[in-house]
Amino acid sequence: MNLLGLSPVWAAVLLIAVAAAVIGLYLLKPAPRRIVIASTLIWERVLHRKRRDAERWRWWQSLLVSLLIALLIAFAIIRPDTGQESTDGKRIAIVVDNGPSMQTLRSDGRTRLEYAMAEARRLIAAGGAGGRTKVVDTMGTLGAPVFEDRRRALAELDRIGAAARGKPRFPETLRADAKGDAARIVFITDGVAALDIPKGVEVVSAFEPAANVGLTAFDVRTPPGDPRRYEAFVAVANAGAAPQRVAIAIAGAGRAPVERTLDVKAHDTRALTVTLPDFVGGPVRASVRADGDAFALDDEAYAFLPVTKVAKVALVTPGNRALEQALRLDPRVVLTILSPQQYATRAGFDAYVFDRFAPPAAPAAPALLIRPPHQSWLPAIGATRAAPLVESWLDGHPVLDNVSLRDVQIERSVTFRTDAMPVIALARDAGGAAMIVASAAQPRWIASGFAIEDSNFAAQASFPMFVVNALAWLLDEPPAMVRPLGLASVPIARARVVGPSGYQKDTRFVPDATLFDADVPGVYAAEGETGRLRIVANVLDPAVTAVNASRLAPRRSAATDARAPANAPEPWFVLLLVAILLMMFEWWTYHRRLTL
Amino acid sequence: MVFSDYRPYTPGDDTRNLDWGIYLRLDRLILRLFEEEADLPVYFFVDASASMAFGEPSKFDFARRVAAALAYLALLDHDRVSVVAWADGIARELPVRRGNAQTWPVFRFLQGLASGGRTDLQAALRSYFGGRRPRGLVILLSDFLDEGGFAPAANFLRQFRHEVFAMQVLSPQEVKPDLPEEVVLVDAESGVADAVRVTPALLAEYAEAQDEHCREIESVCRSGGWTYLRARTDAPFEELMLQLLREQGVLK
Repeated sequence: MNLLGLSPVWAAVLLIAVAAAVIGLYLLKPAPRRIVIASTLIWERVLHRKRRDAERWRWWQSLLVSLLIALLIAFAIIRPDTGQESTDGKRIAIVVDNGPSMQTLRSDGRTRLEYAMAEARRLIAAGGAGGRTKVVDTMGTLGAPVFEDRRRALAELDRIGAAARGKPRFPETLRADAKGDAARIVFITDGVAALDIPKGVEVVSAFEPAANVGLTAFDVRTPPGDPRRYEAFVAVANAGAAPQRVAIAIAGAGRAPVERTLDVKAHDTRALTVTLPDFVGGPVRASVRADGDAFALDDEAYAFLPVTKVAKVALVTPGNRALEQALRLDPRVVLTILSPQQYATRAGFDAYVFDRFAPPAAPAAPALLIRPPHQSWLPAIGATRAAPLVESWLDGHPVLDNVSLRDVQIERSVTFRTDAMPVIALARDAGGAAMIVASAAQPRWIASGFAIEDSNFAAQASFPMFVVNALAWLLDEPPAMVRPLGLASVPIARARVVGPSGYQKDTRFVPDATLFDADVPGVYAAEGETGRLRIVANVLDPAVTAVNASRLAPRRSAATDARAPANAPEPWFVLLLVAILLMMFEWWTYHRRLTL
Repeated sequence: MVFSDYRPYTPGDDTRNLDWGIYLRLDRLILRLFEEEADLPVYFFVDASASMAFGEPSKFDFARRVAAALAYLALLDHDRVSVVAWADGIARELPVRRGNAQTWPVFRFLQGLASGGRTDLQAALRSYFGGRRPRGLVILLSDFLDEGGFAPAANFLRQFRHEVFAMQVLSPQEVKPDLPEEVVLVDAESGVADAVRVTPALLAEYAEAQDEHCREIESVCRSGGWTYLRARTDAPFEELMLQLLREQGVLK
């Protein structure tokens, strides 16, 4: 409570002073003069007569007021209906489209959804006090509604909220009602969502053309081979009927926004690539601004850049020029070359690359192992294959991103047995045996079953990419997952998910994954016992941006002309209110001795 | 005893009054009739309750002046004059006086009276006439502002068959009161206070009630064959004495 900035003590003093002043002024009021007369006998007679007349009048007044109060309460209890706007007792089902496009602003300042809600309220009010109404939405917010009285229907209506994601659907439960004649079905929509509307459904348009510019694509990546530089790809769509000059701003944590201006024709999409100098990682937000933009949901999008830091890498090798050159190509790597004998004497590296060598115990830092000998912390080595072909590989895995093993010729390679240890088989031979494996357990490691010298891999264009990817996977935070708005799954068991606002999200657990509702665009962080992951949720959907793709003509609905105002109180409420006012009047007159 | 007339003797008449001379001359029994001229007891009942002190001049003073004037006339006529000051009983009493030599004692008695106490005429009458009193003229001077009402007292008095002259004394201030709009009226006798919001309508009602009260007193008096007079203290005294008393038959 605000007390004009006064402390409670001073506020109390002020109130007491005001009360004292009022009491003082009241006491200063002159008392009536006392006049001694011969006898009050005659006056008593006059006053008695006057009182008697007043009493009679007060008696009647009191009786009338009491009767009125009782009648009003009785009327209120029996819920009278004026009969105006009655739908002849026919039930009405109101379907409100609350899909994302319904968040578009209309020229009157209301959103299409607010307009639809107002229309629905008018329809409910027009049904009269005895009307039965079922309120349904297209996003399934209300579950399985039933026909209810006006008050409950209005309460149900108030539960409908704007959905930021998901595909609207015409409620299946109403299809049966649409076939019969028992209920009138009114669907209030902007017509943007392509819904299968049954016959017999009365469609009320909430559509009004609006200007909208939105992001339909946004991605930030490092160029291949240069993990310390970032580029953003942005696509902007203009869903309005007029060309728009669009201001694009891309902002990263602690960095000045990069701004661009783009002219986009009506119903057109334009894309551009923006270099993001000095961006070092973390969340990146892209936003667009345009005159008269009526739909905000698609005006921003997010990305998350993994932080790439300079890494001290030790190459433990008896000598491998190709590997050494590949490592030196990575600008983030500070390379130290050690012989296997020197390995035990040096420490303090961020990552190791072991060439045809493996220490007896797992190293303290992540490691890339090329044709390692068997050690207990590594998977058991299976058969040695001569001239094996890489039959399959996980090209979606970050280590093999932009890496092709199709043309790699191998003279011989060992395979790893993956049954005894939880490892990821990145590449397999024709027999299905794992040739390249990786372990996500900390510290991470990647092991290749063939040596560089036993293959032409070093001569492949993808070899440096493999090395860079491997080091990034070993050293960096994994890249953020990109998900559309809605239910998102994170491959972390029993993870704790924090939303863009910093509050923990409600989660549901399934085997090896956690589900949560990504309800607003932004960067979410999931963290569990097995790891940590960022999830970027965006709208980025041309179908959502196309808020004018309506099949309906903009028009006033019939219900707009309904005479009953949307917020008109029900008669019983008015009666009860009048009864309460009369009771207060009766109380006042009683204390003023005007009634009995 | 003064001779007044003759009439024929009828058996049973007192033979001592037979006119024997006529019998001897006319041989008829004629009875001589005499009138005994007795002095009339006049009881002055002066209301000395607190309500009589109201008005300018006060009703009490006015009543005393009237009593003095009438007592003077009665004493001149050799009537036996008693003066009683009463409120809720007998306040003071002047025993019977007779002859014009008693004029000054009566005046002094009246002058020495003071008003106070509540009005209870019936109690005063019971107290005074409870003993045996000869029939006479009761002159009642009061404002009759008696909570017990005048009728019970009148009924009590009526049984003694006195001739009664009742004068209701009114002050102009109570006939037409001049009061502020908001006032607390305090009863001079009981001290009871009534908060009143004085409006013209209320004053009109008061005037009506006042008139009604006077009519009630008059009605009671007339029903008993008594003489009633309403007198305002601001009326010229001489006019009252010479005209009104004569008109009302008090003076001949």
